[in-house]
Amino acid sequence: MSLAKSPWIIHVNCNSCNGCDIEVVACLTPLYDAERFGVLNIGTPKQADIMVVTGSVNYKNVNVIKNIYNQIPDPKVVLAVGACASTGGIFHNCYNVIGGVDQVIPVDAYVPGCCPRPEAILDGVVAALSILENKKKGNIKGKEVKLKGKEVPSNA
Amino acid sequence: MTTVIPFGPQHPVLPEPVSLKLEIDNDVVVGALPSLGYVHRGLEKFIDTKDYNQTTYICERICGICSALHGITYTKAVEKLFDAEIPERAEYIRVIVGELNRLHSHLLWLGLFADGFGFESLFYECWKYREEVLDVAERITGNRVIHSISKVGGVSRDLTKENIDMLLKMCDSLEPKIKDIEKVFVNNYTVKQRLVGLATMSKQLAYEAGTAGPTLRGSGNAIDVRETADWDIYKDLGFKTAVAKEGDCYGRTKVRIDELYESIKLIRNAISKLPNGDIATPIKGFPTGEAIMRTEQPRGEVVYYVKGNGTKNLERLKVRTPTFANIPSLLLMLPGVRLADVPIVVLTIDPCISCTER
Amino acid sequence: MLENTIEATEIKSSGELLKTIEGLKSDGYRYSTMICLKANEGHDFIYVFEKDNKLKNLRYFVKPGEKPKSVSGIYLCALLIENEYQDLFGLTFEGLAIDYKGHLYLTPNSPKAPLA
Repeated sequence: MSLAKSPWIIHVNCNSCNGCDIEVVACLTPLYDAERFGVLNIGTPKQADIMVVTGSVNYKNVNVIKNIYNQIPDPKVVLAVGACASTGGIFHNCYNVIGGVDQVIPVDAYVPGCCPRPEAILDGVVAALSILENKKKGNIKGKEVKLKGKEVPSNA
Repeated sequence: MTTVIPFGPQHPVLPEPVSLKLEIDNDVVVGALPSLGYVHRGLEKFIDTKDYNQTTYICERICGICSALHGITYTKAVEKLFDAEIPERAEYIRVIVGELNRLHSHLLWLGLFADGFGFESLFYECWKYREEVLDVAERITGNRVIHSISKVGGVSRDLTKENIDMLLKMCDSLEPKIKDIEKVFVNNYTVKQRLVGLATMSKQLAYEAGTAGPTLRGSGNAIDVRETADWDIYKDLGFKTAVAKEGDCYGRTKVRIDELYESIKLIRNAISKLPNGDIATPIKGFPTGEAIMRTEQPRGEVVYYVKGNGTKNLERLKVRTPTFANIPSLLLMLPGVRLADVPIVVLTIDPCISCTER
Repeated sequence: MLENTIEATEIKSSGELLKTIEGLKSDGYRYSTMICLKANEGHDFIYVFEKDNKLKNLRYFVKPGEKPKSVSGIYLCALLIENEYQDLFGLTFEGLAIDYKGHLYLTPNSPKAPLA
């Protein structure tokens, strides 16, 4: 059985301006139809294979993204969609932005663009599929990312 | 005894990280506390490193869904500082792109909303029609989502004859399709069962809670900045405010569907009145003084405050976005709602968290 | 250019401010937003109210070290913007309806009072 025939993706909005998010969702809708590659958008990380991240990382959501990454079972692939997720993009200098997603979790494939077109995102997903297959063959496991703990305050 | 259930930041229904702490008593919400900050980037500080022309691109990336109207509002606010006369053609092109923006945003919301109450095929239907709008927007502006049409002094691209034909064709083909989805949203028994009477806000409450946009108009308040604000071009285009009396989720849906027709009408009227001439005036110097500019975004009224101090950087930029005004109303709407309906109620204000936190 | 300054009524004391805002509420004004500016080592607040699509602005100067009074008791919707300024400017508002204590947007790790 090939895992790459039906990868399930989880879409994580990190610090995105929504531009990439709606393009990721547009991929799944009839015109671009990612489901023809067997791709299914799933709400829970425990059933996902590919983690699609949009937007950069900031101080508040850094634990959220680590948590979701740790919950995805092996083999797993991380796809960074958009300029912000890749490097921080236009916001790389902002005070609350740490940088691209690869500062926090290992990223396997990048889709550049602000915003990337749905075709580009689909290309990224297809590229991720072969990485996923290789990881399965080589039995490569994702590293567990440690939470630092104090980053999320117990507010009000 | 009450239980506290966290809702978000990662939630299957919401594409965006909003987090609510819900106090639940026997499946019914008794209290809600929003927790923000997952998308906070700090754009109001960012103007220190970018000049006032570059800030246009920052403002367009406050939110990717209403990006054109963010850019337009910002540039109009800066033009107020310069007391600049903008060519009429540029203003009309801004209206056309702004209304395209509203069309795609409302269709997007209708789709996500349908997904929220589990009507998957309606979700796909709405997003299929939205692609038609995006195709035209891409032809006109060069990008599907971040339109970037407006610049200080006018617009950056002109409408060609071909663009206008495409726009008119899109309007003609979209109108019957909206009628189709309107039938489902307004008349379908299942949809009505989910929406009617859910999270009702009275006219008075919605007014006093400071809500904006369809949340406000869904409760019977006919307040739309397009009608009487600083941007007076809408008066010539025969704009009429869409209102619904219900005040519940059903009413807010109806307002948005009516606004789709309104946007199509505005695009048609703007094309028929489109004047000839320049699309931009050159602007020299650096901005001084302060100005407030308001426009109506898909989600409601946006308030831009800009202050210049005679240098190339602005001294202060403050953006009050519509979702920022609508989130306190969630505190009023959610108590009394069942836990299963919480996603629908949250979606019904059309939350745009990246707008809210900037 | 002076003509670009927005019209605003000067308010001298915090007691007068709350009284004026209560008066505006009974007149049917909606709370739109509040703008905070750095000025003369203190902060300038511009309260923006709206009725029938007309804006009414109040300007109030917060002296350095002064704890401004919260308006959220009169308009509940003021709580978000006041919490935001607690985060960004390091101010402390008195009598907030829901107090996030400077952690609405920011966490202990992120930069403190970035706009101050």
